[in-house]
Amino acid sequence: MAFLIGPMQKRIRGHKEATETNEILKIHCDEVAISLAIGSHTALPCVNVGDKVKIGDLIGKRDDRFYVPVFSSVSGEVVAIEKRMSAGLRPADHVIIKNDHADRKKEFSSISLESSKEEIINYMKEIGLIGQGGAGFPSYLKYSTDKCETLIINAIECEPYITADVRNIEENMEYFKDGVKLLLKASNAKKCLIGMKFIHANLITKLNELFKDEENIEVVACKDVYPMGWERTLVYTLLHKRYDKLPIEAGAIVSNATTAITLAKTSEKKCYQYERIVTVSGDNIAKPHNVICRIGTEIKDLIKACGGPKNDPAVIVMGGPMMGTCVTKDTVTITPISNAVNVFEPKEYQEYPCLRCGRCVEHCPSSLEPVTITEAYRFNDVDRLSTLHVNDCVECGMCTYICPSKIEVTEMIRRAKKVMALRKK
Amino acid sequence: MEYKFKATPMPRRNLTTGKVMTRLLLGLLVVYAYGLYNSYNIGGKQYLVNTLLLLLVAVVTSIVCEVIYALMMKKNIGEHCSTSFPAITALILVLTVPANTSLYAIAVATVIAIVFGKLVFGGFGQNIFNPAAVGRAVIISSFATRTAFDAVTGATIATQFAKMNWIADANSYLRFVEANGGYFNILMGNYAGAIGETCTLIILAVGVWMTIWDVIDWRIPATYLGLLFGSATIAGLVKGLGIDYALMFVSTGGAAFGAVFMLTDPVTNPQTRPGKIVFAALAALFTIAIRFLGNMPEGVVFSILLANMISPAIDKLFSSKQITSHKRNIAITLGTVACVLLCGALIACSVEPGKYAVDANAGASETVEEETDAEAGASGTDEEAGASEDAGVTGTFADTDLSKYPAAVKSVDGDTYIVTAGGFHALEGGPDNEFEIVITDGKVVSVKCTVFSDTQGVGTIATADDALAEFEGVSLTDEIDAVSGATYTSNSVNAAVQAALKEANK
Ligand code: SF4
Ligand code: SF4
Repeated sequence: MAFLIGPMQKRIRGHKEATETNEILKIHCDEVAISLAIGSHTALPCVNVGDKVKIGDLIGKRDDRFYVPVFSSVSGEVVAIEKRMSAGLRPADHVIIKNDHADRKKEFSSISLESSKEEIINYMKEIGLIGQGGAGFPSYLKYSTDKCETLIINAIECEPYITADVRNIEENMEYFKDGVKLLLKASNAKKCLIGMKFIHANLITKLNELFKDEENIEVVACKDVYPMGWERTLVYTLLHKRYDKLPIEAGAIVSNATTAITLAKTSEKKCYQYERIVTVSGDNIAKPHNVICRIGTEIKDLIKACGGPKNDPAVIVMGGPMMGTCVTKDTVTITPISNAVNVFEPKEYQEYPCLRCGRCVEHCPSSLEPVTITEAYRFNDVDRLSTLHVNDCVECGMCTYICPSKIEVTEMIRRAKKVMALRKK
Repeated sequence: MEYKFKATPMPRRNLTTGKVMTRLLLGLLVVYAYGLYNSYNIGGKQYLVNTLLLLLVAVVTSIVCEVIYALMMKKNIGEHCSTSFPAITALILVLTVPANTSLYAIAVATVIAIVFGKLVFGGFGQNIFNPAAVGRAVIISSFATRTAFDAVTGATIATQFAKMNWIADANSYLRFVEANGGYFNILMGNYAGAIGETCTLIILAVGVWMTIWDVIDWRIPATYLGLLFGSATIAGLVKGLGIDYALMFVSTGGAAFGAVFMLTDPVTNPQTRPGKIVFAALAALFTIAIRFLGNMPEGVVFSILLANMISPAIDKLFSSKQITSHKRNIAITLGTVACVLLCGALIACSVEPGKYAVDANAGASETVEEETDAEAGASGTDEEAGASEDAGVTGTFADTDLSKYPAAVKSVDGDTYIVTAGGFHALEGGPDNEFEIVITDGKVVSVKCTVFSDTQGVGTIATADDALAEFEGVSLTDEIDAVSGATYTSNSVNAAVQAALKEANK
């Protein structure tokens, strides 16, 4: 495969050492702004200004095609509902709640390993579990199938700098174990593979120990390459299967490790998981750390807790440095799927003319031709673009990373996608 | 605090195009360094100096062209030159020309390479043809005779090979190899030819180094050279030449240099891996066709240009999602490679093998004319170069000075003359060769070797039966050239025949 197509992946320096072992900071805040943006949709608020809420109270819900609830992460009073820039670079309603620090909680129900598949899936829906790897797809939809043969737990975390998932597993070993078993039950799969980069050798040993009694759960050490954590790459690595749209076509369901932990923890504590662990790192942050904060915390609090940017000006990326989105306002808030806030220096690179060397083609994990797409976009050749599978691009950033001429290939493709989207309308 | 916008991804790979080009430059300089050494070896100081001047002229010319272009296009000169890499083109061009190329020719070729090979298309990255190949083609087609001074050994290996239709009968082939100093010598590039193209071993070593440094894609030279080698092997086996013929086929005529440094130019080859392999395979087919059917020594350069021309079409062919079209791509790639191998072998087999002596001689005399055209005599260099023991063997046979090979008529029996003549061993005081020569009416009827004391292998060619048969009908007034490269032995035969004829004419 690789001989004619190319490696479709690349080792990228991880920079994980910055946040791999140091302490996890805890951040308190007096006010949270909970984003109602879920993926490309926006939930409708179901509280009014002045309402008193507890942790776990429903404050918004998405109710179009599928149901996704949004809960409050603090107890206190709703002070405003306003439009703000969300982490996905989209203006969306945010519910602003003043924290009274009383932490009154609404009690959730719970499930156990004796629960049936349906019960677990209903529970996922009830607690608003969404895939926490970054896509934010509602978990209950993923599991509502009986074609699953293999459950894949994604603990790869292939983006540089981020260590949130691995730290989360380390801190919550038991919950992780329960969560994986619950997901396995929900998926009805025969076996479960936990993919983790081989560089976390210690953790892999611990996990093997943890799962030694579970015959159908196996920890697989994977290569340290990018984008190993991308669903397609992971499914291909573990099962040697490719699929067209969803992993279920290859008989697999892929869930993030953090999703498993959240599920088990919610059930165990009978409470909404109002916090999450976020990596604050990058080459331009004074003291990189993992932090635990409430959903809805503004990222400026996280950056401040980590000593602020080293140099001015800085660039903030929500999520990993490869696939994340660059935000220009530090009032963007943490959502259940934010795994990292990275601060960088805005480096300028000398751009050369495109060599047409094909390195971007060889490394594109979707096996597209970034160079041709870029060319077609520059000439505004929409006909050509429509034959180049532009929408199969996952904006993984590999093509820009690999390009020796330092061309912003990924950005061109993003724009080409927009051109195509407009044309469709 | 100010937060800027910058599109993700943030990290970038360390490798830049500038670095890639610097690495390529280093690799080329290694080849050039060997070229300098070889030039000195072949042609002494004069060649060495000219090789240095060629590079200087080419680099300066290329930079001047780029600067003028930048001025015309109102671009920042420094930025334009640092992203256009004129020196690379200049260096590659210099490496593909012989050391005795005139400075005027290289200057014109550089201008054409840079301007018509690159800038008219919109500059680096937009060009369709390999600029250096364009420049080289210009030199071949317009300046073939414009050498600064005469070529030392006359015909280059590639010319000699081309004169034999690139495939000789077994005998001629052996003589041809020996004439050029044997395999090892040829692989080491120890002969007169283009500055950077002679030493196949060094070129391949640099190629490996460039692959490890992520400068070139090894699939291209591997496919190209592999197919040349494969086709030639089949042809060689069919014609009874053995596998070493294939080795000669790929290590002469700049095939290795073209494969490693010119076909791999990313700008002018396809961007997908299957595309690259198909591209190299077609280039190999073109080379084989041009060599055998066109009898040209320069098959490589023209095949590169042809392949460049179809590169966009190849890109179109493979332009889709690589995973989904994977099976089809494998089929096309393997199919092309197999077809090229087959066609190449068929072409090679269909060609009538040439004769070394006659054809090579014709080549040599052409070169002699060229030398006169060039009007720059350096006959002194001829002698110093030493590679041409038999260079002076023109004029009538009677006048030919063969006194180094003392021949004496031992006995005469009617028309049969028994002659002894010194060979290689005789020069060192060893035993002489002995010949039985039949002469009637002042013309040789037959020559037979009765005692042979020269080195087996080297000398045996010149004393092989059909080599001796070439003396049939020779008289003292004929023009004659040393029959082959086995200088000592063939001159030994020449001396014997000369002595016998002189005896007969008494
Ligand atoms: S965009 Fe960059 S990586 Fe892709 S072909 Fe051009 S120079 Fe190579
Ligand atoms: S950003 Fe898109 S085109 Fe570029 S490498 Fe990733 S998937 Fe391929």
